[in-house]
Amino acid sequence: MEELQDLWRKASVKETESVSQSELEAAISRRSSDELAKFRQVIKWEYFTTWPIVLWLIYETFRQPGYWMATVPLLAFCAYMIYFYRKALTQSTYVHYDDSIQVYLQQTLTFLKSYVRHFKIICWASVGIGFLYGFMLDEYQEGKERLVIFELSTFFMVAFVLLVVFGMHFYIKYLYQARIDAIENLLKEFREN
Amino acid sequence: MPQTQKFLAFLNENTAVIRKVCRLYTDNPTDFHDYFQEVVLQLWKSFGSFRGESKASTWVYRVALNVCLSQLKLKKRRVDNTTINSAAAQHWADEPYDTTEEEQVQQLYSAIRQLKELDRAIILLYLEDRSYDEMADILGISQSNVGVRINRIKKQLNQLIHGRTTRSVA
Repeated sequence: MEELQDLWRKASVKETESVSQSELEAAISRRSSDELAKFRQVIKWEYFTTWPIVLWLIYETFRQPGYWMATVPLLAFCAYMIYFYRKALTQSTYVHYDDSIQVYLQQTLTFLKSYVRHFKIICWASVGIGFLYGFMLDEYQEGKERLVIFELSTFFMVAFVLLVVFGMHFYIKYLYQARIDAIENLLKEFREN
Repeated sequence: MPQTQKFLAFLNENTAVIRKVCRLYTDNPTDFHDYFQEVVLQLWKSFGSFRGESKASTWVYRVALNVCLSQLKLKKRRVDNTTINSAAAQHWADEPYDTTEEEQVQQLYSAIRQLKELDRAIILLYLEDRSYDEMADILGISQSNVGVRINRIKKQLNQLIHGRTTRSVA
């Protein structure tokens, strides 16, 4: 092993190429390619695209007669969503590269798992609220012209729900689960002797 | 002295460490360049908040290793293209210094790249002559755990390079 250490020392001597001022400026002005920065961007993107949808739903709720009953779950949902995204953005700032490796990995894993858990709650709550709205539409528009979606066959309705459920599942898996698995494997290496 | 000049001086004192860490987690120049730039960027971002609570080298190792581990591609660890074949390993074992130094260095990097991600970090710190105390601080594990792991990795690395299975490597 000593021969490897000697070889390593010799190799280290060759690694002293300096960084120039222009190289430094290029490095510090580039956009971060780090995974966590990307997650932060995705969270921000989701946060800001959710707002117009929520505001539109609130507007529609107040506009339609008899829809006031839906405002309570809708406002509760909005409050939860604001709490969730703000918490996720704050929690992501707790992850520091200058922590020890194990702490860094654990913090990242905690952040991602908590985010995915709340994300799933949001998604399922959205489906629930969607059904509540659908039920109310059916209830209050009786005798009036019904929305096209309720005139579709049961087959299409089931297919639509399944598409939403599996779509969400794969979206979450694609974005987060692979990263979670990779970090869990690394942490497993820490527990092995 | 402006902050960028101060950082540049600090960076050039530690550039060898950053390059070696990045080299262990990449196997092509493009990835190496990306990882290096990302480490520099993250060091720069936290340079202002570095208060010297830990040694500067500990801080650099932590940031560089965490960045490289977080950058790893989400695919199964692949076997390096330049993996040492058994004949070459035997040749190296018999006459370790008849190849050029550059080739030996490349073989060493290739062998280390075949280790698990965490083991690569441990052997890097060992080869860099870091104390067990500092290694434990960087990794976040106990000193005794560091010792156990180093012994295991040394055997593994020796086997990868020399094809030896039974000889002691201490």
